[in-house]
Amino acid sequence: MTARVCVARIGAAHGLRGEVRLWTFTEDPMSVTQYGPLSTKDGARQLEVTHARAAKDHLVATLTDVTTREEAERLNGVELYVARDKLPDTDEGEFYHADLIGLAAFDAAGAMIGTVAAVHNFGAGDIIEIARAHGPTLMLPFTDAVVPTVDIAGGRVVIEMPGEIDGDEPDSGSPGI
Amino acid sequence: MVRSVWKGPFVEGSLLKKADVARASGRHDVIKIWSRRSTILPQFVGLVFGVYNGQKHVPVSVNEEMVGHKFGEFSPTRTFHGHSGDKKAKRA
Repeated sequence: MTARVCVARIGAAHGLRGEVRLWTFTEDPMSVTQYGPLSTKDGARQLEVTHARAAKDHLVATLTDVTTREEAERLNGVELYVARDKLPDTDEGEFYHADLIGLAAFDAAGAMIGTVAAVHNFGAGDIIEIARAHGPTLMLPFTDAVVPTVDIAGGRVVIEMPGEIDGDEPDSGSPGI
Repeated sequence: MVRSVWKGPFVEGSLLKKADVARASGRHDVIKIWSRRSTILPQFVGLVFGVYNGQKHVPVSVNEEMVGHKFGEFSPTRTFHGHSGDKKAKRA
């Protein structure tokens, strides 16, 4: 079975004609209409988004074979998946989060650090989060210097741990934020 | 409430010293800071700060567009773990 990626979750029914709220997890919310039929988590049912329009923070979508409100209500909470190989190819140096998550992380000497738990972007560059066997997770900038090797086929990333300029932790008495 | 212009931007003094050390070293060191309230200055562009969010230090790679904002804006204290979907990460 090929790897699948969750791209949307069906929310509440919208109106009387079988429309649903659709919460997307894609970079461009409207791209869920371009992946063709989407499958449910167990793969038992195929649903295609035939029409979608943007609402406040979600889409209002029409799905194939869903024409009544009752049918739409039954789909509430269903997650929609697309096969990983249906996603378009990435540019040089660009990786899908879905490909990175789960890779084993090794240091330059070949010792295992942990596994990639998540990839974030809070507006200041991509961040790779490594879950270690013990202790808190490690957040590192996703740069060529820190992550020189990403081997998706081999299931591993190599991490060059950056140096840290530590400093004076704020005094407990200071009003610092 | 807007800060008075005559006061200038607020930056923790220790942070300026650490930035000087990082620039002088020429390496890609992460500067660990706790001062989320400090303003990002033009001399911080290109440096990587680890901004404390109450639990850990979140890496913040400073670029030109971030000048004038506060460090805390880029280190959320509450993280929502959603599905990755078709989101992509690019190595800088």
